[in-house]
Amino acid sequence: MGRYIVRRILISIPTVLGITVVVFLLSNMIPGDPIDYMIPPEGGIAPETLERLRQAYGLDQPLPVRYAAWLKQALTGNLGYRFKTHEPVLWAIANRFPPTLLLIGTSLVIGTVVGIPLGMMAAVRQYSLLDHLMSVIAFLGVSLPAFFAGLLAIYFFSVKWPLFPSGGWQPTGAVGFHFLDLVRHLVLPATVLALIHIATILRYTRSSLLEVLEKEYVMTARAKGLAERYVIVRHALKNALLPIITVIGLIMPTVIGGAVFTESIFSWPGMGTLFVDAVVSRDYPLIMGMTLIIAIAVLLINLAVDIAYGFVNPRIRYE
Amino acid sequence: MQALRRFLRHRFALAGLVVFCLIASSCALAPYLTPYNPNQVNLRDAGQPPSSAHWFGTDRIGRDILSRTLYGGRVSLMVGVLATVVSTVIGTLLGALAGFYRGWVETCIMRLTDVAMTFPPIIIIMVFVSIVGPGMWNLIFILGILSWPGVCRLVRAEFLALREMEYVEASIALGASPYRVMFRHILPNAMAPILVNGSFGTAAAILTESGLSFLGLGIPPPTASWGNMLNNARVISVLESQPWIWLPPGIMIVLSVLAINFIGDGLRDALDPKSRQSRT
Amino acid sequence: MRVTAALVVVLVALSLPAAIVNAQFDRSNTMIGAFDVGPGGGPQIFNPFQATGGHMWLAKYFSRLVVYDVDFTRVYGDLARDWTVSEDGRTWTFYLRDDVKWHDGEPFTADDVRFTLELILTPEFGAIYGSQYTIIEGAEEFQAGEASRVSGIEVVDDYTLRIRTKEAFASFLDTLAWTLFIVPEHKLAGIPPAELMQSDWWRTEPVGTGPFKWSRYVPDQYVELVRNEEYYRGAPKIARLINRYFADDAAAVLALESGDIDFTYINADEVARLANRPNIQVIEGPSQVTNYIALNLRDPRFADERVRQAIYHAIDRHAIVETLYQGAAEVVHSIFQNPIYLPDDLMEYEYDPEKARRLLAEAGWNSSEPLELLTYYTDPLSQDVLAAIQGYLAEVGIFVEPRVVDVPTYNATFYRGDFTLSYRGLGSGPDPDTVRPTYHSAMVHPQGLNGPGYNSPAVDEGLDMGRTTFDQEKRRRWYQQVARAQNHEALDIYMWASTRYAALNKRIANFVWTPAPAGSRYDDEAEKWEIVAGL
Repeated sequence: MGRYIVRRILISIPTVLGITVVVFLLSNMIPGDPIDYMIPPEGGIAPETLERLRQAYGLDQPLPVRYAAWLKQALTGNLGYRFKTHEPVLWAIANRFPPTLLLIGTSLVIGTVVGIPLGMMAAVRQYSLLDHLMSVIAFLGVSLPAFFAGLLAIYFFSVKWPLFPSGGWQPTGAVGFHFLDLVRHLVLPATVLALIHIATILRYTRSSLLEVLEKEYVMTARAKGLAERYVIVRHALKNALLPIITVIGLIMPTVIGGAVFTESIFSWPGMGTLFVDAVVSRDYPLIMGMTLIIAIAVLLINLAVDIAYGFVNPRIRYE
Repeated sequence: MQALRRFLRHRFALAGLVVFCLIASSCALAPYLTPYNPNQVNLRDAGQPPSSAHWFGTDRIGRDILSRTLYGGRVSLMVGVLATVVSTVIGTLLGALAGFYRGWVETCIMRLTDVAMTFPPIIIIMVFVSIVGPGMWNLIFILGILSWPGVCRLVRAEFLALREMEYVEASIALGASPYRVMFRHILPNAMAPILVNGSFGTAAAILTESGLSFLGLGIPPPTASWGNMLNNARVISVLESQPWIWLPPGIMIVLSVLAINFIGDGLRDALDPKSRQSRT
Repeated sequence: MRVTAALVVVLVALSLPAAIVNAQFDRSNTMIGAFDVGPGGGPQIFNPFQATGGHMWLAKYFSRLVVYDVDFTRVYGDLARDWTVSEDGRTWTFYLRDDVKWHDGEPFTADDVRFTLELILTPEFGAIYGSQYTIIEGAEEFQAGEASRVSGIEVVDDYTLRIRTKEAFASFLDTLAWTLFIVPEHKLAGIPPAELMQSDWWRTEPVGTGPFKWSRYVPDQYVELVRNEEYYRGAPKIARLINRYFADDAAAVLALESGDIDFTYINADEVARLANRPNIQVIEGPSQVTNYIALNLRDPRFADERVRQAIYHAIDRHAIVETLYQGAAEVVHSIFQNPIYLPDDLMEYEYDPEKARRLLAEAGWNSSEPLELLTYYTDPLSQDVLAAIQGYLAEVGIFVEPRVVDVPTYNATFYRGDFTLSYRGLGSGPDPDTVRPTYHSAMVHPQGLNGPGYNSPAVDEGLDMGRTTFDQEKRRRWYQQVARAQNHEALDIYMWASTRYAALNKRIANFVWTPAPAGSRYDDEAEKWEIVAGL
């Protein structure tokens, strides 16, 4: 197990490097640079001034030189500074990570807590009205574009009926941190994000449970006269969890970027909006820093998912 | 045949198929269904609610919503279907090679897949669109390029299983060319999961297009797409008091995504009765 | 289940900072605004010398020597009590207020102004408006490192400063009101300019002389300022001022409606609806931005005057203004909107598609090639406007395809002349010299912002003479010459200047706002803003 983890991590190093090279090239291929971003087209700055700025920031250097400089710096743990605010990139990312994790975590909890039981119900009563109803609800959840669901949620639940704040993750200007406030801010965005997860998890739970229910050991358990509820929860569900964990693992990377819409509609200060902002403002150090961190995080999550497999299903061996 | 019967028994899938065919055919027949040019601006008729002249009303510059919805559907469905075709072709090809030849070919392809799957797709899409510019064909290309890894893994897994089957070994022994074995003997038997995956992919691509419109990276106006039409709802006064502007594209997105997902569901049950579990 | 639950619990636990302190607080004396939403905004840019927008917010804690009144009719003193200008228009003497203290209690003196000017002129500091100050005598020697001081800046005594320019510059006060936020020498002199450019001082502990003092910055969320009790024009009435950031404009509008914030810029689309809300007041003002279609004048297709006139006649500008803008814009005939710079003999180029077709036919227009219409406007209203323009032009046989790009892409494209047509906007006021870098023929890339290759001797002459003429009547006539040439030569297709809007919760009184370019130059009397009602 230990050796397996070490080997996986070693394999990941060239992968991560490769990703940073590709993203570095790509981000420099986008027309315009951080200096161009600073100019409002309705005003304007003398181009010679801008050239001086490019020199000051080292943007006039050839790409390989700039990449090498970035890599050298990154290896010492310094990811540089954000162009726009001049805050350290690492600091910027560290600040956005907790809100994103919280949002994703909460929506996954909602997704799992709601999705698994509903999926179980649907599986147990396969082809019943309930099953079909679940299908419709699940697919409705996925078929609403996230930004639209977010707009509707704010419009109804904070303007029409002012139940929840319209955005942000803490009360503006509040000193310190209050748990209930956080929960109030979390309800709308987490629910909107969870819509998708509920659907996905429901579907996977249903299908994987259906498969397991036909397996012999479940039949045996039933034959032994165990209560149906007991059979499903103790025997079937445990084995059905494997694909569900896979799904959650698959959701993670898409969620880091996929929360973009939810985050920007709800002004949630997370990684998604930060990345959009980085691309829009051509903030190369921030793009590179986030790429590096996300790549590492995703690879670690993949590893964690694979290890979680081992817990659920000891028959899987790591070779 | 049995599969077809099973599919037809799946009521929701059947309904999905009917709805999807209805939507697709009315979009295809748009010029015959509506007298209006979808891009014809008519400022005197701007912002009209539904009427007998304009069944779905007009938008803020007097364009007919019905015809924009139908023409927009062409674009959105094209993006959804063609992007999936692109990704399916790439993914199937690479997956087949990896699963059939094994060895270093497989290692290379699967490492590539890992890298491609590591990154949140929306971010790469943003970067790509910023480079090549928005537009229907660019979007199809980008979405296609980005979603192949899933297909690739799936096809590889199928090939790994199928190449051990007796009939495959028999045809190799009989001297069939690798091309023939791969695409004539193995691929047809792996079609079921590819089709199922494709249907879900189509639904996802339609949604992605509308999301990209929100970021200003989708189909650029004035060409209509459901995504950029729905995006009008960002003007809160439109959201609140002119629902006819955003409801039709919104309903069409929901309906078609719903229909395609049900078709996929039905396909899965029909083609793959033994293992309903979706492979990933 | 256990594993999933455990995983999730760990994730949540990790992301919860110590949630113990009670966060309730009193909004009754705190104003929260989305001050950096909209075209004048510059969210989260705290170095005022790299800020091309958001000056309204920066002016809450930094001050300038002079400011415009909110109607942009006159300039008056802020840190400068008074000033005189010599007969030849080259020597300016500023008499500074002697009762100003920095937020840390240190007195403000003429040395701070000298320090700020020299800082802006230091190349390593990378001040984006630095080139505006090279007109000061000795600035070039200073920049070249040949002199340690700028010879044209003379500190006469603690409260008197003399500035000498190389040539007469009639727009000098406008420049000062726009970009010269005075920063404290005693805080910054010790930091090398190259470091200062990226220093965290600007976002952690800036010290200014404005009505509010820096309190704290929560990245991507908000900046909080508190009242400066020692403010030289009297302590502000509002105790705390918060600038909240929004990733999405629609979200800011919804936040205003739900009472979460008190102020935001709004798009014209929202005006009618918000005006009906009992607790919301809509504020409007001229954008001072002229929208026009720039033609790439290097393109031989636009060499024929008849083609350019045809474009004018093809577009029903009045109909667009009435229906799309719902009257919140005015058709213009040159880059200027201020009537004092407009001569009487401007041509209307009224909507006449027949005439447009005829002109095109005479010019032998080839309508088979579609033209790309580049823009950076992404708001819904502009999208509709573009579609309308496209529709009008198509009717006379000019086929355009809009291409909407983001600002950096636009800037990397337009100024280099890599475009065919561009729908854009240009700030044309308050001082008419503002448009010189865009229209003077010597200002093509990389000297200035003349991307289309605009070249009109009459415009050049008017801009050059207006810049150095102090006599208001004569100056006005030079700029009227510019307007006339622009209108008659039709090298650009001038469309309209729109009204821009903001919305305010009515609990705020004495609030002053106008949609100035970059959000600044005017005196918004923030010390008088007052909260008069509960939420």
